Amino acid sequence: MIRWFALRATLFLTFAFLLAPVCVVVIASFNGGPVLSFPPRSFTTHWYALIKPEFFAALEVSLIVGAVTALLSVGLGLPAALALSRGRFPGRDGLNAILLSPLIVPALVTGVALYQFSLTFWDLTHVVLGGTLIGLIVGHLTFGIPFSVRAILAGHARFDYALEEAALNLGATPLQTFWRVTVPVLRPSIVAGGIFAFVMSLDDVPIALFIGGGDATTLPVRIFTTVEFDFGGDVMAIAALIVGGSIVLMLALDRLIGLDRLFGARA
Amino acid sequence: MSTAAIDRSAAPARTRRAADVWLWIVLPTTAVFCLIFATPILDLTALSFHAMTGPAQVGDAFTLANYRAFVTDPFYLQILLRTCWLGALVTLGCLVIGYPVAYYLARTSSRWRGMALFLVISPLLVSAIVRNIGWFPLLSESGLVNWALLKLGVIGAPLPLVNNFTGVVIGLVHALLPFMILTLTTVIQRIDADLEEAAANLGAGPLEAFWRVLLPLSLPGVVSGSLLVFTMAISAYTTPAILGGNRVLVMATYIAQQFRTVLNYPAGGTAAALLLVFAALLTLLALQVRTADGESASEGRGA
Amino acid sequence: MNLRVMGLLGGALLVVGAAAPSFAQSSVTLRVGCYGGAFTDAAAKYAAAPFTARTGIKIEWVNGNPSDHLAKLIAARGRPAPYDVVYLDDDIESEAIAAGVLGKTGPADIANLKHLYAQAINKDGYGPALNFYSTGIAYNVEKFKAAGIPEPTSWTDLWNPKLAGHVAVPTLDNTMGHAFLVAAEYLAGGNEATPDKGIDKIAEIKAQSYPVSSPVLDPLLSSGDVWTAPWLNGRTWGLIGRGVPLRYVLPKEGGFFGMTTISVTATSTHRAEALAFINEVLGPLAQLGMVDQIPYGPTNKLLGPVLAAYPDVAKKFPATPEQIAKLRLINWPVFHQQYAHAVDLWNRKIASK
Repeated sequence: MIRWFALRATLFLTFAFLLAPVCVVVIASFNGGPVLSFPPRSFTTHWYALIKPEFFAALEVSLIVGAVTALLSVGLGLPAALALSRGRFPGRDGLNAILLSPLIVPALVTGVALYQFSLTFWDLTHVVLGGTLIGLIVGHLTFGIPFSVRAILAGHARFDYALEEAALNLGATPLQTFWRVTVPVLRPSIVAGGIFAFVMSLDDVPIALFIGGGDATTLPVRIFTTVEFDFGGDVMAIAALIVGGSIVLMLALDRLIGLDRLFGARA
Repeated sequence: MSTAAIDRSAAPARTRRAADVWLWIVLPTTAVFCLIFATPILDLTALSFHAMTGPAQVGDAFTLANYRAFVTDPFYLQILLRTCWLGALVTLGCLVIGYPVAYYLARTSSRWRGMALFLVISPLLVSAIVRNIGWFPLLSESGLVNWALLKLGVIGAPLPLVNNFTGVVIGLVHALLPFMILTLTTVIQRIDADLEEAAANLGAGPLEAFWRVLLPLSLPGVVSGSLLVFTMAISAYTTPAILGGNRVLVMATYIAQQFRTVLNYPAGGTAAALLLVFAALLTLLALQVRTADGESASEGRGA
Repeated sequence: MNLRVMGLLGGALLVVGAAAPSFAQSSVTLRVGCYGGAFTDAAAKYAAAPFTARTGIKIEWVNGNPSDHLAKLIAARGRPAPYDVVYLDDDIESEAIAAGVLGKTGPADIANLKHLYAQAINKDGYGPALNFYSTGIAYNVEKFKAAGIPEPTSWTDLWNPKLAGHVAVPTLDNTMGHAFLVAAEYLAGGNEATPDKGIDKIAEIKAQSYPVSSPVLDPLLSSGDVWTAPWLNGRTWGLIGRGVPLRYVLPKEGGFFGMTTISVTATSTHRAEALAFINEVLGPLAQLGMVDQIPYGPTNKLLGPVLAAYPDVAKKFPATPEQIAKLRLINWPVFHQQYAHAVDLWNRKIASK
């Protein structure tokens, strides 16, 4: 009885902790007084009306870059994770550490390094990466790949090879086994890796600040440059909109395919 | 149970591949990675072997002076120490808070599981700056937490919860908790719940079952999640800058300052390189951790 | 801002229309590095839009901090620059000039130069300034009254022990921080070349926080956790406009004065178009529009009479020739020579305590 209560209390407190700043932001978006004055002075929705169209354009850029980054990260991360967990080749542990390294380097350093790299790249190929969506995707892959590798590696723990063995025994080719046994079993961690990559892409400021610009401006950069100059409730409003929009999206996904199944069966 | 009898210590012959096949499989990712990350970063940190001649400019001569200056100065070593301490505290916090939540999410059959998982990642959907600023009305001296604690009579004077080290820990635990929870959930899901039931049937209390069955089996996931959270905690600079009130000087905030405002690339590059080396060593160490049956965090199966 | 403004705008349009060089509808796009937020919005509305309408030259805005722009320009030396025009704070501009990434201009290139105050024109022919702002003291009137502390009139008032824990000191990452360090240096009997004295003096303040930028300070000032800080006139007036009980005052030793400059880059491939845009930004129409949105003082002398007619607006920034002549300028080249050293001292003595 106590154990049940303790678990429920822990869960409640944890979720309250996780959601606290989000709630503050949502409340602040309706605040008529100075932003973030607490308790809020008055209720208003005019901040939402004041959101400029550039924010929505930036949101579009962010979503496209995030989705492509997530897909490519998982596509490149899966083979690497499998090789790291099953393969036995020299330098395997070293490669594991190297693939984790982007998460250790502050994103700002990566941003500056990528900017310098884009210039060298231009020197060699006369292809411009700065200010393009491709440049942004390349920049975000630097952390997208490590995230998916880590997530899939973690999920590969205790992989039951008997399933693959059974499939091969029944006449499946290695490729069929891969698609119809390995991937579905690893699906929760693949999805987790993709989600990490997507969310971090949506969150990134330094890399997008240095590589992007002009039409290739992501939403967090737009928020960042706006907030530096002039901090108004419209920034809170757009942040609240994103959270709200994601909740709606999640509810829809839940209804359509069941989020549960996306994350895989429970043991 | 029949599965217990199977030797899990080696993959069956037909699913094992020759080493060089794996090399081919890992090649595309490694190549892309080297091109977009390793090369640019090596290029930039190579600047640490030169002297600064002006903002964002370096001289031609090769020198180790930057490294010498860093390693021999107790002030910089203190920054490194503070960074590690921060990382350790945040990781511990995420583990302690995250494990129960991950356990619940892995074991529950509630229909709200999907939404709960979504709620776990929702803090990440709010831009980092806005999220951090959102902490001020809660943690500041006139904020909600202090107001509640004062009202309840738990404290006599407001606690300094923000613009200091405490604020940074709170903010980082909050921001990195989703990563720990999601990693642990996917690992715990793969552990057969019957094992815990078997332990209970054999007379183990819940704590003993956790300590002797669940934790050892989930250790690779714990190490994976901890490694992820630790590396992100030591490279975070927005949160320490905002919630620490710029009074918490860690490696990442120092590096950011050198790269962004002082434009001293050699100094920034030196610190970044040292941080990278340190964390890489830690990673290699952690990957050696093995569970009771020989599984390690670096591989999904036994040695 | 109504009838008189419209009248002046109409007159300005005529002047501008007559003086501008003509481009047959061009297909060039200028990349302009700017700050973002309300600043870029105002510039887009009052400078870029009429400019594009008249000449067909489009403006693409790349927003960020001036030091980021500087870093990109320096990295791109020897190659086509990432911008054609760049807005920089005057202290960053001095670094950019030293790095050789800005282009020179003269009265022959920019017609409106002759209408600017002398302080706004760079002696060596680099980017002129489009507005003046000041660093002074922002303070919360109610909190001071409640604590029984007299309102600040001097920089030294920030060191008042009764304010311990309620002062915010800007870091050296931004202009206010630079200005405050110089103030501290002078208070300690030094100058721009002696950061040691300044840092020691600043270390004496028991600050609540060291904010890098306004989004971090605004909530603290609004909630009353911070009662006073050295801050920019524009940001302070912005908060006042949102209902926070603040007041902005220039200390009796003199507030520090800064400028936003606009320059053409050294390796821009569209120099003529860039110069035409800069001319537009310095013209009375664009300047007046900026004043309407952001309380910084225009540098175009033609606007003097307009400002005199609106004292409520003019009180927020240096508006008259007398006020402008009284503001203290900072010797940026000397300051920047010591900058890395100053930051190091700050890290050791202030940031890690």
